[in-house]
Amino acid sequence: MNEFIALIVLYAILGTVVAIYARGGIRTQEDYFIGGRNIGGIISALTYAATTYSAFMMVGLVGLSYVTGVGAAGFELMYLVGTLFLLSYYAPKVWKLGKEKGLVSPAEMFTYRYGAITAKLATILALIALIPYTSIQMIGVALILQKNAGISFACGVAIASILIALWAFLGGLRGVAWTDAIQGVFMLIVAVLAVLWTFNYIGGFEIPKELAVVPNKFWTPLKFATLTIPWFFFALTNPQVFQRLFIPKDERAIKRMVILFGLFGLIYTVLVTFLGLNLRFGTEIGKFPFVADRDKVTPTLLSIMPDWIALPLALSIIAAAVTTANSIILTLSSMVLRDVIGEKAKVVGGKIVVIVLTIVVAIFALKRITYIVELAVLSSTILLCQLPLILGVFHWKRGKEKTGFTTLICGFTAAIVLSAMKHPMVSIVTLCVSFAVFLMISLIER
Amino acid sequence: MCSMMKIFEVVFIVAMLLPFAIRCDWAYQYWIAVTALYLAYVTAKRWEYE
Repeated sequence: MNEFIALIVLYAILGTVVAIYARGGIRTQEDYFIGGRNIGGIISALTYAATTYSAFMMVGLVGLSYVTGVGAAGFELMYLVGTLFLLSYYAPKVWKLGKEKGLVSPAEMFTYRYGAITAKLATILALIALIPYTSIQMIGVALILQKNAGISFACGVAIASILIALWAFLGGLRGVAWTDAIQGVFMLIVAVLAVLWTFNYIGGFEIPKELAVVPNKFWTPLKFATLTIPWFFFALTNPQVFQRLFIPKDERAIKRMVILFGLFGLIYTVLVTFLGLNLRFGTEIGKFPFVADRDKVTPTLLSIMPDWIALPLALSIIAAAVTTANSIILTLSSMVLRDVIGEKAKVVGGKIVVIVLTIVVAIFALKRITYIVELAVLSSTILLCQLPLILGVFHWKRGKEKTGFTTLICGFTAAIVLSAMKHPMVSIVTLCVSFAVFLMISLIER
Repeated sequence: MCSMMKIFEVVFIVAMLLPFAIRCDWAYQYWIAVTALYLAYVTAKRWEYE
């Protein structure tokens, strides 16, 4: 049997055992979708980290560091600082509100403040933004399986779908959180090994002069701001991480979650960007071939590495994609079931929606529709239109249904239109439009 | 006190943009150091519920 297939089978079996063991007694949707608000700080931190850090890190960010230099590290660390800042203030507030009002899906915060129609619209926007993004994760898993296990792309999509849906289906949030935690630790260990192997293979580390400074040809201040803004607010605007704020068992667990996530994020970001910069140094001294396409840097590295490190590294990329994708699917399921369908009691409904959404994502992955990549890149920008509404819950007393609905419509339209026009400041303008509409309508609305 | 803390934290965030202003070749180390310092600060500070 192909060694990689054996590794995948072992991974699937271990994950399934963990998901079954972790699920406990699932009686309510609160148990299924948010672990009964009873998850400890360490598991909360690891599931938060594994959900946040997708295959983009080990594929996209390694390549971005290799091609564009240290600005890639600045971009990712700016995201981390912004997230720590926002979470240290808002995580306890959101957790408390969730407990008081019995919120389970992220959009229910909108129901209570801006009415059910706003929550429905927020769910539709989340589906538009996150289904293409999740299908990109699925395509990534299928391509790795195709390359390393010699199976067809369609078969790879089928296996990826099972890996993504199974643990969420079996164990709900607890199943996802525990498998996320184990995979998060695995991702970190493999990243350390990959960096050590690469450092030893290249024979040193130095950042090439033209890549050590910003601004440069790629990282202009405007580019940095446009790329950073959607990610800076990611912790509040992306439902799969926002829902993670409901799961800690108490306020101490929230603080532990945020701090340990920050530590994980800092270490993982440094490792990943170091890898990209080290490979570039390898290119400068003739130890690593020049790679023009940034998405091909990690595959080139995998083709050079011996199997003992290449196979775990490929598996860690699959783990990163699966942990992000199944968390998104579970969160979207809670939103579709509770905010659109209106079913707030039966757990089986959640399981059915998990399967249906996974099938939809798989169809997107198989069709490889051309605009998938554009929508996936745009996902965080689309979700930015929710920011005024979320901040409004805590800081602005005015504004009800019309405010919520109009803000989402105008912000979403701005993101799509400006993106189609290839506007250089799409995220900044989307944010400004959303806030302007929110303030105007909330002042008018009685 | 609370608003002073927030201003201090905004200074941290703005400090992340410094490499764009001074074009230094130690931007990578600088970003890592500022992020680590901020993480230490968030760990040490009293959160609103405490």
